Amino acid sequence: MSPRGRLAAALLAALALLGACSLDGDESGEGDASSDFGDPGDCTVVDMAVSSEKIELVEDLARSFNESDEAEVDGTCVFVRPQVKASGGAAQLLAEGWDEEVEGPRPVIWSPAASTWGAVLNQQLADAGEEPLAPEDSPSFMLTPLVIAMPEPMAEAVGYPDEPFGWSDVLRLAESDEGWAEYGHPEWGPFRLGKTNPNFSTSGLSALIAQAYAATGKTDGLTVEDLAQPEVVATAEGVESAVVHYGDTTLTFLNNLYRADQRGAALTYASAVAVEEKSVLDYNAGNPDGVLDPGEEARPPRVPLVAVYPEEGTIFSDNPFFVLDAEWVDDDERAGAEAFTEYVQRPENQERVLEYGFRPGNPEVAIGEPITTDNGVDPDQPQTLLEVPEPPVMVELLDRWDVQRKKARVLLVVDVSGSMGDPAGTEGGETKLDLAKRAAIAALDDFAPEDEVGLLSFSTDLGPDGDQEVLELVEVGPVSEQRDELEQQIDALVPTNGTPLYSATATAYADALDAYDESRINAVVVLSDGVNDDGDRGDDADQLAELVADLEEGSEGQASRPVRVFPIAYGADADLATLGEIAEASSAAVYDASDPASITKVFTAVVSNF
Amino acid sequence: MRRVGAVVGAIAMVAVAFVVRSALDDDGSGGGGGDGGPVRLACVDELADACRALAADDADVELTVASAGELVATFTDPEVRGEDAPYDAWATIDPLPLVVDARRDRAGDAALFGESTTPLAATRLVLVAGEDRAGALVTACGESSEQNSDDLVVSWRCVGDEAGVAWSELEGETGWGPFRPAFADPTDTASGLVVLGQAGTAYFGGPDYASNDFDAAFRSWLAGVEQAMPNLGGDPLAVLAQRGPAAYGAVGALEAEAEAALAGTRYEDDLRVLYPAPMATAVASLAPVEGSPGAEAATDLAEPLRDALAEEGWDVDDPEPAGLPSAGVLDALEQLWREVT
Repeated sequence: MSPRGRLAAALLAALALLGACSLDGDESGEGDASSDFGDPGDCTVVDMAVSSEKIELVEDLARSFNESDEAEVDGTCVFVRPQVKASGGAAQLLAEGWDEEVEGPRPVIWSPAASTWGAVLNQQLADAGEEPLAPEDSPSFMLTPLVIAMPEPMAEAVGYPDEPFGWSDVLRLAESDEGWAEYGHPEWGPFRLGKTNPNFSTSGLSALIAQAYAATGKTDGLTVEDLAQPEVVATAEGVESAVVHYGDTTLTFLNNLYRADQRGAALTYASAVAVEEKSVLDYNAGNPDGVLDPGEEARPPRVPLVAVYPEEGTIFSDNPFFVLDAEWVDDDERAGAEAFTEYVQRPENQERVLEYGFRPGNPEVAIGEPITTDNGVDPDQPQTLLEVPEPPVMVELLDRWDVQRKKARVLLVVDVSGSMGDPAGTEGGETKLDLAKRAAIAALDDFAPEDEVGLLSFSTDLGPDGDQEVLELVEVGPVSEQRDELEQQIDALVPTNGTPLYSATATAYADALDAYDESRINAVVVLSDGVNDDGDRGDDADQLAELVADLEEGSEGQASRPVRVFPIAYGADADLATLGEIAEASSAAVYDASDPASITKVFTAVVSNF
Repeated sequence: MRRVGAVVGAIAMVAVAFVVRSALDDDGSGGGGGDGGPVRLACVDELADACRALAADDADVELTVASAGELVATFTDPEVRGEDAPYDAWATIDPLPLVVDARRDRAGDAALFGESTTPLAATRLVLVAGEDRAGALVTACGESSEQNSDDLVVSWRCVGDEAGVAWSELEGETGWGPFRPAFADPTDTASGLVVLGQAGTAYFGGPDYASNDFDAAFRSWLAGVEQAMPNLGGDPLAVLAQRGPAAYGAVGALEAEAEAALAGTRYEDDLRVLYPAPMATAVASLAPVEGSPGAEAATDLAEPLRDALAEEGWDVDDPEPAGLPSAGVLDALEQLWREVT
């Protein structure tokens, strides 16, 4: 496969993860928004695939358009019908084939987070000898730049905005033995950076591009040769060494930061997070994931974030509206799409964009509230824009990131209770454990060779004497050296008895803490399909309280040795709420695999944290 | 019998006369192109607003707006001849009709436009920059205007020399990064091509240069300009209007085009128009396609098109090009740009 083809393969295959299920992610409601959007009747239907951060806004605009006199072309009404689709996932489907029965209607308009995805898609198609689908120079619906978000006291400590701050400063702080003591704040501990996995996240990819440019001193024309320069390699490794953990979405960091803030511990969770400007606005408004659930109230954090615009330049996510050059788009649909595209660009509709914290794509609309310095952002920034690199350079960036990223030390903890032997409901008649084993084995390939992985199983009455609740099947070690053993042991798992979830998690956590390696992301991944059931329900509440307290204590404070616990709630009977509480206590995230068939995608999403 | 024959003959003559008269009426009376159809007008993007205003007022105009690159490709197609050309006339920027005819000539094809091109209106070539960046640029690259020694203008030669240099070395802010000039793609746009021509004029000290003068030093200079130009997606003026002064150090463009693109936009007050040296003026013209059915009728579009251009800020008083090289040199410059890109 050509290097450019590898971009599409690498990015698009991996990016389909955004159908996976982190509660802190942006995947809610993916793929099915069209079913509750009303009856189009005899109207020309314009289906849209829309990235999650703007689905609510686009739905609002689509409804108002559909009800207006503008929704008509040559006497026939037009009905715009959006559905949420993650940018990378949609790109992959458009490149490899869109199964409407599974994924919903093929879009007439595709609006990913950034026009980069259009280039990625077209590259993939070109490599396959096919015509491009995403037109060049498509209008930008709205914009938001990538920023380095820092808690206000920390931004003040480094002198921002009077003193410029950028990726070179992140590097210096990341490599400093003094940490925040250098700025008179030893109580904040070391500098901790939040960055998302660039294979999955637009923000993560933008941050990776920006730090690479910063290392070269360029603002455009980044080359493959640049990335091989020793100082660029050293910068990359240095920046990544400060990462708390990765993840498929910035919302995980922001939600964790918010919860830590509510406990008064925001400053020791993360010192800086690479996110979009819009997310800073949401966070400071008390809505860290940008979505208010029913009954949820937006409560501003104790410590707001400040958007730091990197001195070396940054990139905009430009949210294009691609009216696809596709064979399934007929003239009426195209005309309807163009009518809607024009409609959303009108000043009165672009004002709505501001309400969601984005900068209007229509240059005739001024940038105003809430994009103000009072809210932690600066409408007069950024001062320098970076050019998006050519696809071969992005392939190289991602390949190098796989090597340069912070390595992980992960303990996989698998529930082998009796209920794991229940049918998963698939056509093949597999059990839940069958699917879980297959997914876990496949996930081993998502780790880097230098990552360290171990395996525990848990149930009741385990071991030769039948008195153990946790068995260490594979001691933590480099994946490269023990992948076969891990696979064999996973494959050999069989369902047994009860579900001592709390004690197993506590044991795994203690083991991970004992062997804590500060040069790595230390984590425990717990897969369970049920509620805690160790034969004694009477002490469940105490067990959970003690576990949560231990996790909270371990994840906070200047001298914390954070071991993140990522639970996977597997199957319909899993205790999602409690697993979520456990995840939050360790500033991690719980993953919802209530549909066992989703477990493979879920595992991919979990491993994206490393 | 002879009387009946005379009456019948008279009736026949009247009928024939009626048919002939009807045919005459259909052949051009009431406007339109050849065979009574509309005039098929091709228009480059840079003149789109004026062309659309014209077409809105005249139902006998069938308008196609496209990039200069696309239209040059159409007109240089050897399959296209005057009599069956897809258009009757071309509203464009000089000297593109000459460029087309020169290419056709080299390929052994007959000219399409000849000497029938009518100049309509003129506009100066300018540089648009953020207010603060403009100030720094004038400090770094300013020279006395030929017209008024008290005025400072920005030397395009200097713009090219300093392309890619850190702003901090050009009296600017460190946070602005490198100085990045920009203009539209000269291989696909008329405005980009004439701006490129102006840059060449600046380098060689006047418009009377030839492709023989394209030595290694010039190629290197041009490559430096190209390498300093970031690709931020889309037309540079549109990007500047949307993303503000951070996008580019300075954008070369047609003055009328720049005013239209930036009027009423959120950064309008943050941007300044500079008049670089050497001064250059581009001319919009109407070029009928010789031999096309509607060529003659197309000449009637000159006046209304001129009026429409005046509404768009073009100068219609005695339009004359200035500061630009010949058509052949512009053609060679475009080719050179392709090579350094």
